[in-house]
Amino acid sequence: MSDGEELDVVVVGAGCAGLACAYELASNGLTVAVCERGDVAGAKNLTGGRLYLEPLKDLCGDLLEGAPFERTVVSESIVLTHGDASTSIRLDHGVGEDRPHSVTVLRGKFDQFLADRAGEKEAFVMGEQRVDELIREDGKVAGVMVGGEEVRAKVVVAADGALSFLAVEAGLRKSREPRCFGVGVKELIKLDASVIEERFNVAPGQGAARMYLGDVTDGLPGGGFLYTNRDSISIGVVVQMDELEQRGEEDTFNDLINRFKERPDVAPLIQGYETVEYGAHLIPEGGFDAIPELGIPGLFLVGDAAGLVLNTGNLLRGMDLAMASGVIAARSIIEFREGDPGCPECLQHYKNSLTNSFVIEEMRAHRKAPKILSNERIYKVYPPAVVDMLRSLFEVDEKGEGVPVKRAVKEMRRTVGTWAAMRDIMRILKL
Amino acid sequence: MKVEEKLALNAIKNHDESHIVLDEETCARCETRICIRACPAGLYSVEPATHKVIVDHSGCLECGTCMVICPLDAVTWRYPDPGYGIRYRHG
Repeated sequence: MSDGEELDVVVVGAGCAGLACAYELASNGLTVAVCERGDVAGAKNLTGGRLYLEPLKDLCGDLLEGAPFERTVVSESIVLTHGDASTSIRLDHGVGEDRPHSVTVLRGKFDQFLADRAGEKEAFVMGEQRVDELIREDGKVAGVMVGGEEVRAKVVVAADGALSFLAVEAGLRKSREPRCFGVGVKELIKLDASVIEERFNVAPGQGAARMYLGDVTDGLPGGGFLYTNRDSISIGVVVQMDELEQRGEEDTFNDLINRFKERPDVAPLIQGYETVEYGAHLIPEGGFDAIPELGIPGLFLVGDAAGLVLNTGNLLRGMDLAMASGVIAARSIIEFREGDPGCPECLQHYKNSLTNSFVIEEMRAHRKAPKILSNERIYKVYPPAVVDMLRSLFEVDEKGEGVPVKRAVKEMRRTVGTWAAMRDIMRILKL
Repeated sequence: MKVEEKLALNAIKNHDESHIVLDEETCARCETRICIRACPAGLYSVEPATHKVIVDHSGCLECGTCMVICPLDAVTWRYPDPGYGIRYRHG
């Protein structure tokens, strides 16, 4: 592969962070190899999911030109579920194809597109290359071992995902703590494009994103998600890993997803579907305080490997942060190309650049989010209380009487507890 | 639809050798057996004859949940050899 020749950079992992990094490096004339353990880029990757495009305009505008996006999200819903009832807040915004804020993606197609683009710039993207170990020399990382062979490089970029074995090996993460991860499980179901457009009231090319809170996760911190793709729907749940132990004995992820699909407010949307794929992936949701040291000399962490995911309850961002971090790492390496990009100063340059970018600034701004969102009441108490209150307002009993708003609100206040609710609301508003 | 039926829809090439190895002695002391409920693919179970926790690596989605959630660090988990394991067609 390298004939003993030293590359400028070896990137581990052909996901969106690694490929954005490789593209940027190769575009600037550096020699780059991307080692991917799957047979092709994307083969081991999974997203919910959606990609926010605005933050990437400057960093990845050229790379994303002509990318195979599924649909532009124009309809956003947050749905509170309680038994067979639900209530939702929906925003239909008139974002046209010319100016998409966010798009749904499927990683198979998307990552292969990114790999092809990186390849056009002469980055070597190689499948079936599992990196087993780091090569360390003179106090720095000098390459990786792949299937018993040395691949030497001035810098190794660890874009090896949420589990990042390289971050653990380098001592950047002592262990992987359950409280820092969400478990995402997704089913991909096929449905005709025209059927999706009719049922979600969107035009061709446009789509919907829905988040569900409440008993979709059995009241555990997390939620259900539904994203419309071109001719399929991504549907699934995410549950905070450290809360899993509380789940009922017989309840599996598959049970949760099956129940989710059978909900009376979901089933008609997906009727006639065909399941084509079932997957699971970890999401590093520990937030700002769980971000590890971003590297050691000669080794840079990017994307999920660096814990760069932001979940604020209404936004779940990972891929844009991943791609941005990949490009920012590349630019630091490019800055030091004449000298030694494996030196501590280059690593420091990356740390500073990332810290001053929106990636870490946004994560810092929302550093309390993981704790606030682990509040059970958000999932167990409020969805039923709100749904019950609204239900009472839309019902007329046998005596011909409805429930006055005042009484409905009073009843809700009794169930949620006024002070506790106010405290929770204040916290959520601070997010 | 049962989880086994869903796993059967995935493109996957299973290795003869398991990439997940359990430390039987440690598992024998485990009270939570959280792996059984946590594995999204439902690969963990109790062997009826021996009451031991066992794992069938075929069908593994390679999420790593079992390794991370195991309270006793009894799960040795690595990525399957190149060419093996899940191959997400859609992702």
